[in-house]
Formats: sequence, structure tokens, C-alpha cells
Amino acid sequence: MRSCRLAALLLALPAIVVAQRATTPAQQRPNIVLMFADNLGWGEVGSYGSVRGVPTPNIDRIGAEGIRLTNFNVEFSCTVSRAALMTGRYAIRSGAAQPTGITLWETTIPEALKPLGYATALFGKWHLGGFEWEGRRAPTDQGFDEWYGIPLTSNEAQVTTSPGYDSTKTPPPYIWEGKAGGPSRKVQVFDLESRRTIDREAAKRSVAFMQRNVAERKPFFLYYPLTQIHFPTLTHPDFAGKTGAGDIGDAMADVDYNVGLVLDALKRLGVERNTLVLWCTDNGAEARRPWRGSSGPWTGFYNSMMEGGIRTPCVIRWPGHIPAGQVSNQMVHEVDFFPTIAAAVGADIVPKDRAIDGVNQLPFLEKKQATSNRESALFYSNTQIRAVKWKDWKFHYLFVAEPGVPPGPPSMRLFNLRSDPKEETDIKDFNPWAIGVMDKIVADFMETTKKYPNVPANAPDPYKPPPI
Amino acid sequence: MRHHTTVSSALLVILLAAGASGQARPDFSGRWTIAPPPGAPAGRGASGGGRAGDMGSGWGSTITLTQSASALTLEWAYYSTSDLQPPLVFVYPLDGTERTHTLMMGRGLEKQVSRTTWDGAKLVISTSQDFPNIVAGKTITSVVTRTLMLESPTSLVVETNRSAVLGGQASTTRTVYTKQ
Repeated sequence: MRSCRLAALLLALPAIVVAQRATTPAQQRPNIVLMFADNLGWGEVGSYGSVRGVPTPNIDRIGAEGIRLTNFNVEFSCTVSRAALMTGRYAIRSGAAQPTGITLWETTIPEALKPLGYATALFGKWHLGGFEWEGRRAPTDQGFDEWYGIPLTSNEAQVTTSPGYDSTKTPPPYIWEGKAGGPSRKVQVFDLESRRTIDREAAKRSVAFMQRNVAERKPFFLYYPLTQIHFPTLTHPDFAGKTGAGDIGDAMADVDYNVGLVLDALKRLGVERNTLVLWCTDNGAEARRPWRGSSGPWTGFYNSMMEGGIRTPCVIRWPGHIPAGQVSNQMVHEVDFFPTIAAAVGADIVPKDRAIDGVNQLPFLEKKQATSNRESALFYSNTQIRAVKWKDWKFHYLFVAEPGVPPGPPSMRLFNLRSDPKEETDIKDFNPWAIGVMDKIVADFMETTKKYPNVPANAPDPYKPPPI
Repeated sequence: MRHHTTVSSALLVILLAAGASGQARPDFSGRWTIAPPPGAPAGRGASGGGRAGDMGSGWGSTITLTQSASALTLEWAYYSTSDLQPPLVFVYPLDGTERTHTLMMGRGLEKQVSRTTWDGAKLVISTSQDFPNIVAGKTITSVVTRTLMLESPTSLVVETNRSAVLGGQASTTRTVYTKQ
């Protein structure tokens, strides 16, 4: 009798497995946690040198348990970087600009993941909807099921305390929240006090979001774009004045603590091994005094094409897939995240009706190949090509060491970043071969814009691309 | 009469040759510096794939040329005074013979092999240089051709053509130096 039951069970087993796959295919896909700090330079992170001596054990742990990239590249400023991250396209293609954001025609990572059954959320800073975002270009209009945070950027926190501020003429900025299908609503005024706590609140909401979806066995895409350490770099009361390393040091302790909240939740919820965690920063170090950040070994700050503006820390972890303890100087760009996440979730979700600049870096991250799938990157300022990186070489079409500082001759400069990481000695005159190689990379990019014209910066919705 | 015609023709050829020679052998001597175009601040106006900058001649913004009957000597202060390095000096024979210059720019000794030709009033300096391991295991040869011409006694134009390598593009830049 017992053996009959066992036989029946064995016979039924394939059907049970098939049934389970059919009913719960979504749970088999990995969760994605993307944490994106703001104006946080290379020199602030422990595993990248921590010039202020403030430990960042949680951020470091991601890299130690996965890979720490030392040649990770981003766009040079907030909005364009977020556009590139979300779309897998250089921002020049999407026409991303602070006043207008990006069109709804752009396909974002959460938009691509939703049809696979992913729950999607943003808690933190959006900055892709433009000034007139409300009801038009909110995160919930771009693939997020829910959001909490600021639609624009952190320095708005200073508005209400600006000398001569008149609330009857200029409404105060707010922290908002919203769910897809409904309007966003104001949570509280975004001022110097709420600026200190917004990242903590966003981390708590992140944890609650993960808990909810783990309970529902639903895969999730959590986008946690922290507002630190963008100016004004004013920190949570738990850390203000605690590190002895100034506002930025305190903010780094806060950033790392909040990252720890997310990591601890993943462990507590038992989904650590099935979650791809990416932590990086949007652009180089904050430059505005008194919150002058550190670019570590690099020269320059955000809003410049110097390495200090476009090379940022990046750590990635996916237990069982990305071998632990890797450190790599292979070139990776933030536009690669979209195709890489697509590969990680095992779905062909990268749009094919437009130019995509990102490449799938998963085989490299998984150590299935020694080199990354990228050997060059373009750096635009608005519509102007400013620099190209190719292998170890970097060619500036217009050398500007810091925004606002007029470019001095020679305007074009070539550096080998291995032998001259600070970009100090122009060697283009002794390497005449380089210009042709760099020009070809730019020309190849421009060729793609013939088939897929760039979206104009002020394009309204609905945007319709010209016929191919 | 026929003899007279022949002599006249020969004389004409000589005179024309002398004239051509006089035109073809301008003296580039002087201290020259790049003058930025008036009212054109760098970094404005370029868009799309447009470039904002300028590659220059490959010789820096200030050069000193000394020309004799047999050679053109280029002196170029690449290093700053505090570097305690002398200016770079390149001597280009004007009889078309090859000249090799060796310099150290941080990736081993580099050899530049140059040869000059006259093209009317223009002096063409062609320089070939090998670059090992720009791509692992490969040596690429880059050829830079500079054409020097005087627009006026105080205006020197250097057109610099850089050959295409590694599937890239050839490029030409035009640099105008003003006599100091």
C-alpha cells in the first residue's frame, strides 16, 4: 500500500513540478536592487580609498561578495546619468535634460520588467520628469508601480530658507509619493530638515516593499536612488557630527547605514542569493563648497568630463552567479545595466526599435570571460562630443578641467589613463594615430543616429520617432 | 635664327625654373605662435558629432623654425622650465634625405622617420612612426604629413594629415601660426 502511494507520488511528481512552474514562473526570476547614490565621488568609499577614513562596510561588502569595478563610467551629471541608467542609451539619444526630463516613449528598466511580473518601485530621487512632471512624467508614468521621494533634486531643500523666499510667489518643494494609475500626492515639504531624513525614509520604504513582495512571492525591481551626498550635504540626526569627518563624512556613514538596511532586509527575507544587487553613483564627486567631495585618485568633479566626473565607484553582487572577491579595471558603463539586467532575468526585454548603447556584461561579471564587452565609451555634454575613452586611452575633444573654467589651449588632449591617471600631460602630438581611432568611434555613433535620430531635448509627449 | 631660338628657349626654362625655385623655397624661419580666431571662444557652437577643439599641428602652440639652404630646424618647447628639459629639436634635411629623430615620451624610445619634399612653395614633411602594442601584440605605423606654406610673411599655415590606422579615419587639421 505504502509502495503504491510512493509510486503514485513519483508518477505525479513531474506534473506537480510542471504545475508549479506554470503557476509561479515569476518567482524564479531574480530580484533586482539598484542603489544609486548622488554626487558621491570615488574617494568617499572605503574599498576605494576613503580619504576621510569613514568606514563603509556595507557598500564594501557588496563588492567583496561580488565584484568591485575600477573603470565604471557614467554620464557627467544628474539627469543625463539617470536617463542613461534607466534606458540603456546615452542621454544624447533620449534628449534628457533637467527642465524636461525624458519622453514617455523611452523604455525604462522597470517598464521592461513589468510584463515579466516584476513589482517595481522607486524610493528616492527621480529627476527624469522635468519641471512639469506632475501628472505627466512621474516615475509611475515610466514603469514604477509606486514611488516616494523628490521629483527633482536635493538642492531644492534650500529653497524655503533662501534669503527673501516668499511662499506666495514660489511654492515650496515637496516630497511626494504615488502609485501607478493615480496621481502623486504631497507627503511633506522638502526643506533642510526633511532633507536629512529622506534617505532613511526611502530605505524603510524599500524594506517594506521588499517584504511585501517576498511575501507575495513576486520578483521585484527596487530602485533606491539616494539623495546623498548631493548638496546640501546635511545628514540624518543619527550621524550628524558623529564621524568627525565633516558633513560629507557624516553623510557617508548615513549612506552606508541605509545601504545596510537594504542588505540586511534581503538576508532576513531569505532572498539574498536570488537578488542581483548593484550599487553605484550617478556621476563624480560633489564640487560645490563647502561640500566639496573627493574624486580619489582622479582629477575633476561632476559636470566635467575628467575622470573625477565620469568614473565612479560601482559594486555588484549576485551570490552563486558573480564570483566573490573580484576587482576589475575592465570598462563598464551605466548604460550596460539594462542589457545586463535583461540577461540576468533571462528575458529578451531590451527594445529593438531604437539604438541601445548598453552591452550585456553578465558573462564578464560571472567571470565566464576575462574581458568586458566594452572597449570604448562616449561622453557628451548636451549635444557636444566632449571625450572618448578607448581602451586605456582618453581623448578630450574639448578639455575643461572644471565647469566654469574656460578651456585653455590645447583644447584637444590625449591621455593614457594608466600612465597618467590624473590627465595632466597631453600626449596627442606624440600619438597621432589616436585621433583617427577616436573620430571613427564618434562617426560610428553618429551613423546610428541616421537610422535612429536623437530625441530632441524638448520633445513633448506623445513622442513619435521618425519612420525608419 | 634657329640657334637663337634654342638659346632663348633654354634661357626661358632657366628663368622659369629660377622663378619657380624662388617661389618654391620660401624661408619659414621665425618664432611662430598659434593665434586663436578672434571672437571664437573654444567650446562653443559644435553640436552632434561636431568637434569643439582643435588637434593643432602636432608641434605645439609656439615653435621656432630656422631654415638654411640644407635643412629646416624645428625647435619646440614641450617641457616647462621646471622640468629641466631642453626644447625638442627636429632637423629636416631639405634635399629629400631621410632623417630619424629619437625621443622618449614615456613608452620607450620612439623613432620618427621624416623626409621632406617641395611642392611648389609648399614644404611637405612626411613622418612615419611605429607604435607597438597599442593593441596587444600589434605594431601600427602612423604617418603624419605636414604641409607648410606662407600665407604672408607673418602667417604660416601648417596642414597636418594623420593617416588612418586600426580601422579609424584619416584626419587633416589646418593650423595658422603668426610670426612673433
